[in-house]
Amino acid sequence: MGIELNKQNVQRFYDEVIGKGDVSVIDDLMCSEFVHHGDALFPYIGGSEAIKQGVKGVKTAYPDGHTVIEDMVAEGDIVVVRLTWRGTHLGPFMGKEPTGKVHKWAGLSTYRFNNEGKIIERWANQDVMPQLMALGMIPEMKLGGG
Amino acid sequence: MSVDANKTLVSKFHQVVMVERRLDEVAQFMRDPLLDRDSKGAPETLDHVKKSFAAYFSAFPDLQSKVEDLTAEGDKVVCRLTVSGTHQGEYMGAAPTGKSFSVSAMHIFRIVDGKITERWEWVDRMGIRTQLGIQN
Repeated sequence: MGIELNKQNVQRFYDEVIGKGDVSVIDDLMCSEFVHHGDALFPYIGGSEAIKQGVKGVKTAYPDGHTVIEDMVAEGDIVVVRLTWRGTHLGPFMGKEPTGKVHKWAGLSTYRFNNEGKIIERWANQDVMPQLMALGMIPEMKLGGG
Repeated sequence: MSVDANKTLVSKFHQVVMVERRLDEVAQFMRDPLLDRDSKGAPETLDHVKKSFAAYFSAFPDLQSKVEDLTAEGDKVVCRLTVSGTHQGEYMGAAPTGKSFSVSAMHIFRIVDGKITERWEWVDRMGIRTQLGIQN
């Protein structure tokens, strides 16, 4: 399996699934019992089928949504990515009508692979407060450090 | 420095600064200033680093920080944490609510010559606000 292959598979997830919206690739990359531990926006998602639905939902809202991987750090069964995502809000998202605006966020995600080289777990940390403010889902506020 | 030595440095930094709160010892672990990549790479003085830690410790006197994973490659070490605490002092302008939170946090550190020189950090601030019921 190996660290380099794990890194390539994380890159494929962002290029083919998040970027191109090809959710069938999820079956190659993740096991069905995959679990996502997130934050306030998507705190928990259980199972790769639920991820497919989530990706489709975001892709409908942000058809050009895509991720740029800024850095990867990998060791053992873990791959950590530092990334930025951006997309144009052209469809309904979490009950909000399209604004036509570009939304973006930065994030850090940790992926854990199982013995068969498939992704079994992820901790996704996304700095979504600017996006939620832009959508009017939380009030405008000044964001301090940390 | 080897990857293992870098991980040891980050573990010690966490224990001494974040758990034991010996802020005067920050300079053993970090270059002054370090580069804070979340502020577009602006240099951040250790004085400022100490003040931010002190602000968290004052807002959440029972703050606990637990290392979940340390992942290292090359000159980087990633530290994934669970952070929890009770809101007993002012936090980012919000008066104490007495409520508790538990969220995840991640730091990426770049280490050069035995010191942390750059940092990317992420804390689930939205989660903290939601769990404490802070609206503003």
